[in-house]
Amino acid sequence: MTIIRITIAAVAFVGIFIAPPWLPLACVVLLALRYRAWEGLMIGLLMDLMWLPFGLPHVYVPFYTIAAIIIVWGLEPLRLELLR
Amino acid sequence: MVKTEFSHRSLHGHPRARRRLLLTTVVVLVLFAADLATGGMIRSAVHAAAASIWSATSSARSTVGGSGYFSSRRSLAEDNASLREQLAQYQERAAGFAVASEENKALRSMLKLTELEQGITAPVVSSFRASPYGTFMIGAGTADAAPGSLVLTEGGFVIGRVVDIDTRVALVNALFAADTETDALLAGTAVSVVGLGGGNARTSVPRGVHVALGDIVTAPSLRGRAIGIVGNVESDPTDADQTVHVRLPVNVEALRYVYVVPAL
Repeated sequence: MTIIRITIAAVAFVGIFIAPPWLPLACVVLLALRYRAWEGLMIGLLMDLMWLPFGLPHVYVPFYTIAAIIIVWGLEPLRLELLR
Repeated sequence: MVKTEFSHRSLHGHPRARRRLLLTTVVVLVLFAADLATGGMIRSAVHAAAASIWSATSSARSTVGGSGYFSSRRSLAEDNASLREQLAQYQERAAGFAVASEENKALRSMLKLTELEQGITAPVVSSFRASPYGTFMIGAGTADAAPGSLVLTEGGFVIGRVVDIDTRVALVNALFAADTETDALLAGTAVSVVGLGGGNARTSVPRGVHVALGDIVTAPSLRGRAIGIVGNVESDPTDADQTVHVRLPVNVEALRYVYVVPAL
């Protein structure tokens, strides 16, 4: 189980740099469905630090960080059902 | 003790794992705030690391590709890519000549002297398709460019603007990033070009305006520079407008180097 978790997380972390943006997001969802995946939050943060344009005058929403927090915490009830 | 369905653990999970998740959430928020407060110190480090990783994986990809594995598929893919690349280069050159011709005509008519722009050539150090925000990175630092600098192809087409820069790497916002609007000029008509991502965009012009394939789209806000060419025109007799698909004459994912010039 740990190997699966590490593999999915590794795919997500590598995917941040070279893969289409849906791949890391899909990995976060997969991780959050089965584990209390704190690494999902780091993946979201890294995605935004890497790609989010911070320059003015436009203000951009850190979509991936917010999405990761929502997914990881929002899937808690479903995950508890799966873990039970 | 027998664990029941309504035990504390089944309802709330392992307390330690939950605490770790809560702690990570706080750390993530603190890191994000710290990055904003420090003017991007953390993301500068991330960008530098990413640029190194991209360079490393590029060489690794070349090594794997040249090792002979997947040779039949690779040869077909290479032929295909090579032909596409050639076609794109020819199209870009042709479009570049058209741009130069139009510029010359405009300059002659205005009887003004133009000064040659000074810029730098910078390598592309990230993937074009990995960003969900339509951004990519180039190997230009604060000594070479500034926020707002324009990023051009070899043919002189603007592909983006520098939005964030540190000592070694600059983050560029693609002009044709999804849902990005740019005021442009097409066949003498002012239009608003909406980016679709991947070097493609779309706009609408009145049906009475004659638009031909290969027409140059320029942006007055970018000193009249070319931003794309007409790739397709969809006209419906029942519609007052015709939809024009604009694209860059070069495959952005194949770009290895770009040219960076000051904004103004």
